[in-house]
Amino acid sequence: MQNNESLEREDLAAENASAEPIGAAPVRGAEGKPKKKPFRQRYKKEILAYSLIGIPLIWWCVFFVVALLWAFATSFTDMRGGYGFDFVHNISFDNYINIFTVGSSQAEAFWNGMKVTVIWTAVMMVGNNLMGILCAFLIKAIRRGGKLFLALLFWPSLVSAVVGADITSTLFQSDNTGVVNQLIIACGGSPVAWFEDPNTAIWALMVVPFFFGFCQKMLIYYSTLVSIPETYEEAASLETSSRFRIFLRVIFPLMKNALVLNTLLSIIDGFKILGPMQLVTDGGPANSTQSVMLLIYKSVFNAPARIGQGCAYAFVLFLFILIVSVFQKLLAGKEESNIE
Amino acid sequence: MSEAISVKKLQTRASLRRQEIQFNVISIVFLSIVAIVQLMPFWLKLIDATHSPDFLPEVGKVYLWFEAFTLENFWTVIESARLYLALGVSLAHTCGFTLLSLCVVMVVGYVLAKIKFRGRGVVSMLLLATLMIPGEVLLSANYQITIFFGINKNILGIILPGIVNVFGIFLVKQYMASVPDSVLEAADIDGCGELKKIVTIVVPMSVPIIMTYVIITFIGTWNEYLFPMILYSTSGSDSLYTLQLAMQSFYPNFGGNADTYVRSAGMILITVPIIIMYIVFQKYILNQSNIAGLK
Repeated sequence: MQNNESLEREDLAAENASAEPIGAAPVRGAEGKPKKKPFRQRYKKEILAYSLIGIPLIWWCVFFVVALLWAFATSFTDMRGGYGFDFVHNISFDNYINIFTVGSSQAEAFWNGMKVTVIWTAVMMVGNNLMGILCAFLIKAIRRGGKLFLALLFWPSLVSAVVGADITSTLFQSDNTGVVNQLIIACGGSPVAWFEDPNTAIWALMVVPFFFGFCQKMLIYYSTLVSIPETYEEAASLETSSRFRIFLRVIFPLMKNALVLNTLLSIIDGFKILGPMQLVTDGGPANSTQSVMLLIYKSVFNAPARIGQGCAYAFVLFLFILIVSVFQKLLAGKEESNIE
Repeated sequence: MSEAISVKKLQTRASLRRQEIQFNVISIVFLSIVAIVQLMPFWLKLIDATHSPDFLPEVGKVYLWFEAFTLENFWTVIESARLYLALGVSLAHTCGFTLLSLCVVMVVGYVLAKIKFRGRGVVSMLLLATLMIPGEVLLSANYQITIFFGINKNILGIILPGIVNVFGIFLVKQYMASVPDSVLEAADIDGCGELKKIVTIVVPMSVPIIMTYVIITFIGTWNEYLFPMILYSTSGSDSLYTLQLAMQSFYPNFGGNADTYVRSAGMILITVPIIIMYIVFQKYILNQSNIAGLK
């Protein structure tokens, strides 16, 4: 084994790991011509690696790659009830054409869904990020109790969608038993039928996810804020005593990465919003809260199932998400290179 | 110049201090209001849950303190929604998924971080692409695949599809890159196999990230409702309902006030385990700088 010292360290480690260290001797002789190494020696690392991750990779292929291809294939069919291609009568681009044909019921449903989804995403993105930055900044800035407030403000983001939906429906019950309506009555107003009016339904739905959803963003902003060296702030405080000016001019530019990340997360989360609508309003009234995800869900799983159409909706939605995230990545990359 | 500045400083020191105190007070008040607004719904739910079933609330009154206190609703909901059954399913689902995916994540994360094999870049890229695609796009396909494997009326149906958790793989991979190579090489020299290396060296060195992963996965799985609902409500296997499903399908079963009281009790019950988790493992949940870095 002493002769092996001439070998590279990595090779030594690899060869000793094998079950037969004596087998290393002939390999050493053929050191200059690796082609003569037996297959098992040459691809030792690959064999090792793939034998370890092989099963997970196959698993991933089944539930991800095959699923993706399957969904994509399905989107070109008129698969309705039943599962499998036995039920397919027609293979065409119809599902996609429908989405982009003005006046068709599919197009109407999809673009109405897009409208709801975009409103939801925009409000959540702006609101959650502003609230997140504000709370993170205040938590960092106060003398005492920062950790306590961080813990107090964060926990609602762990509450499940089912409980969140239940709270929404308790708060915004249409008769005067709902808490919000009771407050309105106490202030002298008249009760609002939140979930019967197409104009108010979506705003009523937003309140609870807003208050339970900004915490995640707040935590990311907070950990970014903590990682910024104190010295910047100290240097800036010699110039001005206004905390908000220091924050805007010095700290905020340093948080650009967190901002980009959080915006991206908000957009991705917003585009796949489904929970509150499905659990509280089921898309109503007059489809005013029917997001695209709910539309997809309904077309695939509700009674007159139109699986092919649902998959087509899903891929158009996916295309939007992809465009947004690529755009965002490009923007982020550009800004980073500008700073440096 | 410098003298003038320092004099000015002395003069303004008092006012600065006052400003500082003002700022602190306003901030704390604001944060408290936010915290209270977040806590309030749960407090109201708790009050609701402890009203006795024949208690009639006055119109136009919000109850902020216990009235007609009873714990009866909790028993009612456990009986009528069969929460004990759902608790078993939820625990099996959550623990099974967390443990299995942890094993997968550790092994794959280790291999991608520490073994320099040909094709590593390709595998990483492919896996990363998964993160770009919302899982909801695959809902119907995954549903059909579980039917194909015949696990749609089975607890395995909600555990197995997501086992290869790509987010977790990259979380762990990033952390494992910091495990020094020299330790692993030393283990090689001692003739240590790869799996043994993972168990005896890598796992003890990555306890923090394992804790973070386990807690995040546990809570996420506990709260999951969409896929289990699709799987079990379409196949009619309501004995396999998780806690979330049991509560969700509970909506229309009762009438009147008793209904809302009992429902509130159920909601409180299914939230309590999460809150306990949070209180115990706060440190790991709130220390998310590693996750932010990953994304």
